[in-house]
Amino acid sequence: MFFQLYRRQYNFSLDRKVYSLGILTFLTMGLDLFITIGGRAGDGSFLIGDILAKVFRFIGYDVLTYRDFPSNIRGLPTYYSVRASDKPIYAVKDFIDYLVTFELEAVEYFKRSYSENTVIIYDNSIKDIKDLDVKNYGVPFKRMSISSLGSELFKNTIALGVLTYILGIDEKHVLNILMETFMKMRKDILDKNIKAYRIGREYAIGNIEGREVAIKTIGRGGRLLLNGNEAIALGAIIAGCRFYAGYPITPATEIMELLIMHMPKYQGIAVQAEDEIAAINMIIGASYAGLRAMTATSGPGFSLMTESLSLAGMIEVPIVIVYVQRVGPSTGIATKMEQADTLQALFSGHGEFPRIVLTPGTVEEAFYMTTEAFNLAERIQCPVIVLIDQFIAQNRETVNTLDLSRVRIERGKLITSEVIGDYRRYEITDDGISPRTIPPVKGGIYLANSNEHDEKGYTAENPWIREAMVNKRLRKLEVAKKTLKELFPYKIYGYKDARIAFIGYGSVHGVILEVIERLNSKEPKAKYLQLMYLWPFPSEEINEFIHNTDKIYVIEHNAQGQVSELVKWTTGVGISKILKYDGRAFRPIDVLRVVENG
Amino acid sequence: MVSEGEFILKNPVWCPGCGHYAVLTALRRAVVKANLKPEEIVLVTGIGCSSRFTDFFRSYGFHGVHGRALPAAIGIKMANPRLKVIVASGDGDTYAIGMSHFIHAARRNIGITHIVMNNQVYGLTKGQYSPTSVRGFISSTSPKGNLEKPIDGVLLALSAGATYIARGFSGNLDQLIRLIEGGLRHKGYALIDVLSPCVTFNKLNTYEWFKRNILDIEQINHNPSNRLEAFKMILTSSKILIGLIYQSTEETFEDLMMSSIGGVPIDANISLGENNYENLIKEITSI
Ligand SMILES: Cc1ncc(C[n+]2csc(CCOP(=O)(O)OP(=O)(O)O)c2C)c(N)n1
Ligand code: SF4
Ligand SMILES: [Mg+2]
Repeated sequence: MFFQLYRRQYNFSLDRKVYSLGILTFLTMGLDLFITIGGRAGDGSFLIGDILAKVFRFIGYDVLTYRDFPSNIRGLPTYYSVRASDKPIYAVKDFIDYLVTFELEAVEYFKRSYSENTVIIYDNSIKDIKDLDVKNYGVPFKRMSISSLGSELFKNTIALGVLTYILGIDEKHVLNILMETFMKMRKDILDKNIKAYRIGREYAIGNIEGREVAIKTIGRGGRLLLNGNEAIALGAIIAGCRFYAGYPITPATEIMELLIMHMPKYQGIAVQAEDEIAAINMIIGASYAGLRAMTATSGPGFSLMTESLSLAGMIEVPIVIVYVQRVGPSTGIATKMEQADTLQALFSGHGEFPRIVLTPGTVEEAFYMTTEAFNLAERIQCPVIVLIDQFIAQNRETVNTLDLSRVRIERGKLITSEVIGDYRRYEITDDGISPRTIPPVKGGIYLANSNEHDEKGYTAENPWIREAMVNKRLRKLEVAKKTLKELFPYKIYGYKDARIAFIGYGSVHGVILEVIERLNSKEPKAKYLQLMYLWPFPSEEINEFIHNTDKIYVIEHNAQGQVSELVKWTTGVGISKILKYDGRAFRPIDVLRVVENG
Repeated sequence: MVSEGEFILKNPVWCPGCGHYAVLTALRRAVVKANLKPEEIVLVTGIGCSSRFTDFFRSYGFHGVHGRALPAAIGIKMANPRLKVIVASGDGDTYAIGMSHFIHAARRNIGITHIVMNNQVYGLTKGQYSPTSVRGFISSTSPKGNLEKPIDGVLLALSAGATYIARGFSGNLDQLIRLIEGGLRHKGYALIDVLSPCVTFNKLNTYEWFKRNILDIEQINHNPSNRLEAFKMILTSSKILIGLIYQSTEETFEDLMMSSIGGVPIDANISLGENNYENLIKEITSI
């Protein structure tokens, strides 16, 4: 019964205006476009992708971008997709609506992403493509650019003119964003780009049948276009982070670049260390001295940091580590997404110590959770890892205006004025959290000691101190559990009593939202638990959530189902894994197909 | 003035005769002479017999992990340049596992007084050869004699751009105090490599051996402000030089940092009400 219904919906969905949003959208006639721009690095496809995203944001659409690019600088194909809709969107779409490409190989590359409604606009300067069973137009972008502007550099802006005409976007909006983009550059570059845009537009008017879609402004401006790395850099500064040390690594580097650029304005210092081991030790030192401190890295760098992760755990210094996962093992594919370091984030480091691992699922969550990460680190006095992946880090999406009144700064048991009487930095307390001084506070002298230590921090090896200290540190996990439940009460999407349950975290969040929306479009069937943090592991929440369900799916971007296994371990019930590890984002249809086949 | 006693946390426990005793004494006396108070000092150590300093010396302390005392100290110094940051470490800690941090600290010229207790062996792990062990040195991991050439921390520091480079000897306390005090007063990164015999695991480089093989550079005509001269002295001397080998005045990392960010990071007001983030949001979100 259920599968039939689903198929019906899917057939419906071949209507181009409907297919990815399901019944609801069909009824409201929403507009939902998925546009991919293909080229080689250097073709400027990212630039017009960004411009397109900005135009859609400006006229009030929800925008989500998806960049598929190689880890070298030039030569190989790069693809920039923009999804824009007048309804909330969470993931990439199943099929491409418009493919604009400067390279013919893109036509082959995306063949699994075409529907009956796909339109391909390709550069036919070199040759025409024959026998393509998808609607297509050949446009001599390169030739026009060379003949009218003396260089092929402007073919991307010509393509923008063609595309935005077909889409029916008002010329003034495109011109606005073009001006904004090229204003910072030389005047003649701005002029040439405007000319290129007009050439494209004129060409389309003369050669391409009418406007396919007429896009109206829907007055939802004022929102931001942001990616995860930007959101995190912003969140860090606003949360009062005034020290950053890092080492360049894709896809986390932008965080360091942004902080080096902006932190000095707030009297903070961001530095490029000689390696990740130095970076983490520098932030531990800065935090010991009283600053809110952070580093950001990816798998290879985090692996180097793990020895000192244990150090932070042992000396109870608050630090924030942003962990942007990419494809591994080893160098893997530096510019592609994966969630295969999840267990490393949860369990790496020798010895037992508390840590917190936050897993934002959207750019907006990445911002707010980063600000909370600093509070958690200082309140619990432990390392906090903000775990995302390349998808959230590097793809821009529209975000509501950031609400700074939601940001708080809570520094926990930090002492900054003279301590009178006997001070014990590692005092055994009920909640395991002890008062923390910083140099040069009078009366607050202590030793931050990687050796097991007594309450003052001095090396101690006797069994009762050892045991008491282990217990003290681990008691903080209980506080962490309680605090996290308050901060991030777990969200169930879909129908509470649904029999099909989805569990996911991080970059699969959006795709699961779209999947359950489609599954539930006819009748209540599915629900979804978003894991906002993975450590302390939310066992109770998961057990409660799966109660009275027939089927539990855990969806992850890795090959072994790392969190699936943890869910199995904590619930003792059978779990179905839906996994993807080709470095590319799940499309809703990838998940739906698995669900459909049982 | 603060007395030496203020810097005593515990009496040290090393093997009787260990060179590190004299270094600890020298440090305590040097901080008194340099007019420092326990609260304003952060002593940072790695791991090794030498790194046990933090258990004996009273001040703010940071006993980190093997080889990484310097980056932690750098983080502390950048956060609050008003603190006097001292690193005490061993030859293994500094010149093996922590080598790159040593070179980078030197070239950053960041204000850290770095005392390396160089006993040409790994003491704490019970007697393996170290990067400063001489060729042929017999140890538990070089039973037939060390095959590798030793490295010279002083020479490396000089080429890496350190601005205060000295070598002391545990058997020469007065000079050692002076060299450490000089390092404490110096602006920028100061290396004091100390020949500090391990009486238990290094039977070759003993006090007597050093007495025969060192040359006090301060007893001969040497101008410590001449870098080329310093290179020449080190490279041509048949003996191990002790004393102040090189010192120059250069901008420190913390000075450059403070002028670029307009103050000291620890003084930054982080409260939300006191900061205007609107422009920041605009700048970051306008792609
Ligand atoms: C990552 C790591 N590797 C190895 C060790 C073991 N270890 C402790 S101290 C030490 C060498 C110490 O030698 P040195 O720095 O010369 O100090 P000394 O004991 O001679 O004063 C080693 C290898 C460790 N603690 N951590
Ligand atoms: S083993 Fe060597 S370095 Fe360690 S305390 Fe004994 S003499 Fe000193
Ligand atoms: Mg040694």
